[in-house]
Amino acid sequence: MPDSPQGEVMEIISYVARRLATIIPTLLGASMVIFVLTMLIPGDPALMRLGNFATAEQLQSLHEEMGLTKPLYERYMLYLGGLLRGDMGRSWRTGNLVLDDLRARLPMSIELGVCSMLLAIAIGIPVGVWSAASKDSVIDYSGKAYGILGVAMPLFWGGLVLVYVFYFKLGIAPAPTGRIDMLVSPPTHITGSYLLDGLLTGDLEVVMSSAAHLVLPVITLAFVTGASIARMTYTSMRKVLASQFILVSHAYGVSPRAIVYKFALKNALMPVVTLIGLQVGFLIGGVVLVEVVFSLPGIGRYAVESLLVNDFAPVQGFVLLVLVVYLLVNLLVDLLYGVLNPQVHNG
Amino acid sequence: MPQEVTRRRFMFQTLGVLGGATVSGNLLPLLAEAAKRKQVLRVAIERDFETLRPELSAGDTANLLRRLIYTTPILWGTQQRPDGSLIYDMDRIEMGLATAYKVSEDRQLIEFTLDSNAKFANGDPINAQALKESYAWFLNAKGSGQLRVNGLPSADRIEVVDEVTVRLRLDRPVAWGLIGNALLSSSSIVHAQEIMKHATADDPYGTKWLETKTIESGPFVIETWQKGAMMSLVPNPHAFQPAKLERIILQIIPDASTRRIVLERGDIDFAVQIATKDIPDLRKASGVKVLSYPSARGWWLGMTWNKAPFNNIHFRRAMAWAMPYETLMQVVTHGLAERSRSCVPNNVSGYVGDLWPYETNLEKAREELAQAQVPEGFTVTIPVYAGDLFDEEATVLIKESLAKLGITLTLQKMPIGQKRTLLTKKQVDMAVYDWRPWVPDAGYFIYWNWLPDSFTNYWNYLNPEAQVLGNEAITMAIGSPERQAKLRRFQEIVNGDIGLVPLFTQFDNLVMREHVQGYVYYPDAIPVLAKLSIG
Repeated sequence: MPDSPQGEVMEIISYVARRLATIIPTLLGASMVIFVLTMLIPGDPALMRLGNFATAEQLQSLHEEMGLTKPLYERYMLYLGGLLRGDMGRSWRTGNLVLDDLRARLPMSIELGVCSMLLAIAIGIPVGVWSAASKDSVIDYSGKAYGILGVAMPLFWGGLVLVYVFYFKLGIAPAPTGRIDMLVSPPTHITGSYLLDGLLTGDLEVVMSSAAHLVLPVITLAFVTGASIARMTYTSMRKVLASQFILVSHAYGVSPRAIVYKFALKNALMPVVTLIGLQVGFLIGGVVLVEVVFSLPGIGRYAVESLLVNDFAPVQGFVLLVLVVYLLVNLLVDLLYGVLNPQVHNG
Repeated sequence: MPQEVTRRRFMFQTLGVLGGATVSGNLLPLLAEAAKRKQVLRVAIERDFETLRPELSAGDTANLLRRLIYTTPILWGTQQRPDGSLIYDMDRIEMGLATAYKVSEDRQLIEFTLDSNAKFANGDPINAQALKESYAWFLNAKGSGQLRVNGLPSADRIEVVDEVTVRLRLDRPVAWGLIGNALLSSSSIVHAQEIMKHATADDPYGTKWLETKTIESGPFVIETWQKGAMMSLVPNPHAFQPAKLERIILQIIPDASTRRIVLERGDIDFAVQIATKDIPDLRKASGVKVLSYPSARGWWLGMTWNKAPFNNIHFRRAMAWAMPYETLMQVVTHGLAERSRSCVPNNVSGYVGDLWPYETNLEKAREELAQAQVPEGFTVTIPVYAGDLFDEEATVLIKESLAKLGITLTLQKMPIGQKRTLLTKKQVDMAVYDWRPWVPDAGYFIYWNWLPDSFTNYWNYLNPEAQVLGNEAITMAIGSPERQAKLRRFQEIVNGDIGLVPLFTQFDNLVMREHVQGYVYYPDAIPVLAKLSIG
């Protein structure tokens, strides 16, 4: 155990450095697995480019142009060499470098993921806490019902229902045609998040339009993610509320409110934080269906659309990016453990 | 001094932002409505454009864009249907970049006179030399199988006569020589000089540059392109044919149901790839116009000729008797199709529909199957393009029908890329698939599908007599009685062999708001948006 605050900081820095160092071999190993797996997928990208009206000569020429005639190991070495230079290859579907495509789409995914996660936390934790603190009451049953409904509801269906009711029937939501209204010019690119860029450039029209376009997808995602958080919070809270120190607190006459919010909640949060960490990766990279329903150009849709037409470089880039996000979020979660419970020692 | 953030204030501020967003949700459609009255066309497309390279047939959306940004010497002529809607006319040609053309009697010399005012978007002239360079670029970059097919194998067959006159000398007469060399994608005019400025040792024809940048020759130029989201186009300032539209916004809406509802709400004017199952309801929707056209997009059941029992004529006849033709028409296409009765699709010149005797008859199918001596419990794995409703539903119905004969189909769902690869490598025993010829001519279809080296002869069909007839039909003049007789004999042979089992030929259904005017249906079904206007 460090005996001074300075020593504690040094220990955390050393821990973070060691964890970051393990990311590099993980990524190298992952790059090989991803490359081989995508190469095993049957499908000729050149055929997709050419369509039906092609000739054998044309196909051969395009194979050469796309580097498909080289042996697999040579292609992997070229890919790895590119990765080390920060080049994830080129998407034949968009004609761009994969890194540029991901850079263009990532801000939208982060914007959607972060907003959804904030709303999910704002819904999930209170519902879980209230439900656990009011055992066998209407609140408890309602919380449990939400937990089951939210987890069981398919994202695609949820999104379509919201679109149908709030856009099509009631006309109070904007058309699900992307990040911003068709007739509004996108803001000057600063961060890539329309909401932030609109605020930074003082463009109220962009802020209003992009906020309006985020409402339904964020609700769709937050409803589902919030349900998982609520279930985890409920389970964890019930366990803590039944523990000895809570019973002692009751005996000492501590108010029920203070017991729930000051003592129990903090101790119940660790598994919830773990779950939130896992969900962040999902919300940033795995919400393809919501991106499809609301026509949002995120990285998930980019990867799936690429996969469907045998454009493998974007798929490889996407998987590596999501892996990095997961590794970093995991690291952050581990650090948060130490904040939530000083007895946890990062070492 | 900053205000203290209280829970109440935070709640009110959050509600304020959400309320504002909701109000803007109400206001924006009104603004959109106002914009609609201007000549702004908002189009919902399924996916982003893969490339600006016109020589790659990369999909319907890329082709739609190609018609906007690249011109061709000529276009199909137009005729009016009894209901007032417009459709192509095989017998007439509309002038585009060319103001006149001549075809020699032996059909091996095609001469174009170009519009002397024609210019690229950067102001450079599209003269005879530019046209020659454009064709040469296609040929040298090995970008076009089409030009070679159409009798133009090399650039030395293109002759600049004067500033506005170009001659193409074909190496043989080709039935669709004029259309193939002056109207299809391979005749898209590119600014070859500009492209070649970006050529490198690794990329000798500047194709990388052309993936995302171009100098337009067509009626519209790209104003903005937000990858994965939208593209906006405005009229080409140097266009030789002025457009009525002031702007075209191509909005990517990947989900078909979302495209449908935004069209119904009036937030877009024109939508592509609307699911056929939605068409009957959309016909009743207020403010929406649905135009249905019999197309040449045929759907088939293909079977390999490489192995038993698929190459056994009795097995093939059994399949032809076992197909649930009417059910397919009603369930899969909701009645929006025609029954196909030949090895070439309906609605192409030379199609003969009285040479296919097969109807659904399971008794006859059983008799043929007994003669084929197919082992009991015979199982076939059949690839299905996941997400294509026609493919999925048709295969399921065929599976049900064949189950009654004791044949088990195992459906293997896969992305289109995988299925197409398996088909092209001729690794599929049996599959449902579709094919649309861009030239509505039986000979053109035969060229691509029925000859031994045809690129999409997925099933290795070979019949020497049919091969001779097919090759002859390719070079003869469309519509000549002699050619018609050869095409009829060809279909008699191939239908007799059950080369394929023709299932149906689907309609193309175009959905737009009522105020959209000027839509013309072309054989490739690619909308020429530049012809549209807001009425």
